[in-house]
Amino acid sequence: MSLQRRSSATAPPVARLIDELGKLPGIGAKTASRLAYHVLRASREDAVALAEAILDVKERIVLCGVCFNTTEEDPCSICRDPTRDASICVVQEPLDVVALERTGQLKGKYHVLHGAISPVEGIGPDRLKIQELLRRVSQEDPGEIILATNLDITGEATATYLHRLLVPLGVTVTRPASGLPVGGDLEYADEVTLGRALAGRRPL
Amino acid sequence: MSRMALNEADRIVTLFTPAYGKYRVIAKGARRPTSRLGPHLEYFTHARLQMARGRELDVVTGAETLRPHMLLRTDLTAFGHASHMAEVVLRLTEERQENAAVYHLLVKSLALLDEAVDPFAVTRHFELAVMTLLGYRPELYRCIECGRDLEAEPNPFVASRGGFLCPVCRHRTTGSPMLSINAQKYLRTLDRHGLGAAVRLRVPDGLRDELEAFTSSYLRHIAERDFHSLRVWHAVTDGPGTSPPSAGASPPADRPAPGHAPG
Repeated sequence: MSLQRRSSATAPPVARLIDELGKLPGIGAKTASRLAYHVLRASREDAVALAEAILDVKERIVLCGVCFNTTEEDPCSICRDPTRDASICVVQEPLDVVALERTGQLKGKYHVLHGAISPVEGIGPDRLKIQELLRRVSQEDPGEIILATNLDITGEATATYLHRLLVPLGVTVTRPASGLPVGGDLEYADEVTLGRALAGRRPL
Repeated sequence: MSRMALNEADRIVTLFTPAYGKYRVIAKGARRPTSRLGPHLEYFTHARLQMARGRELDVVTGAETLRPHMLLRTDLTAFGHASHMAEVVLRLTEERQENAAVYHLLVKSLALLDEAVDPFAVTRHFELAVMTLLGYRPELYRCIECGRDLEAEPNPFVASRGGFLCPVCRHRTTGSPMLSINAQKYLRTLDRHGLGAAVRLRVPDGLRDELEAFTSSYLRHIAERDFHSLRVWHAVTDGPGTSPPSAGASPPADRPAPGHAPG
């Protein structure tokens, strides 16, 4: 989207770069101009490296045919790893896999939905990798499905919906605990979080 | 009512406020799990907020939840209907235009959904009330052409003129959908006697579908665009594969029995 009316002082190639950068999430007209002029001033090698990196991800990265995570090889390294167990952790976005892998707590595999059910935005179950998940569950017999969708309303609705579809398939369906964040002050917690933290309390 | 991500951890949130109507604000850090603002700015949450003037958009500096509407988070039908109400308000109102009546209607209707009052009745009541408040009230009693009282018979509804035609004037329209006697009666009950009377009516599935199709098509005409929420809700609750034949599976708990009232 072109966000700013530019004077004719901007040469067309620069204007084009500004327009393209402005399409990136979180980048407005001002930031796009600043980035464009930075590229203009940078060395040719740096500019080529950036352009190649962008092309590279588009050409070499595909979606894994099993879990729909982004990967260089299909199936991805996680799906091919024989040391992992059969349980499947369902997440909204590829970045969620990165965050969960950092914990080192999950021994199973993943399934990336690429979004969450959001009626206001018109995103229904047909726009997500849900049929693919159901097919996978009936083929792989995963034992446990962990629904690690976001803890906001759309993520919760997606988990509720999936739970209803998955239970009849004879798998154990779990959801990560929700409660107080590490390093958080009790007095600032909102009532929903605090209520859940109490409901899910454990003996020490 | 709607949200979009901004920068690394911020969000732009659309609020509906009593003093400024639809109002977009920036919530700094709201996407971080440790954010103190995030939980108060969730969809459909009724909250009291403090703002600071920003350059383009104001910034939320403090938030306190008044009513979290827990049922809307766990019940897909309540969630779907709340989404629809938010979408209607989002599409039919202008930013920063005060409309306290619509605000109070929205607050009340979300609270009723949260109390598990029949979502069908609450939503139809909400739609009719919003149309009335925004000047699109359908004429339910008289022919829009000759002004004669409408009789108890199926009549065509002309969306572009916001009302029905009697049998004498019917030839003036082609292709306008006919609305059954019972559908017209339901709308008049809502209009005359309010939600309390409407929730006591037994509404068969066919009539529900007819009324939903009617209000949806009239809303589409008013807003000149499609509404998504109810379509997505239908896909979620009665789409393919949602009712796997399985003995012992609990029946979907998302459509309260007719006449189900708050305790």
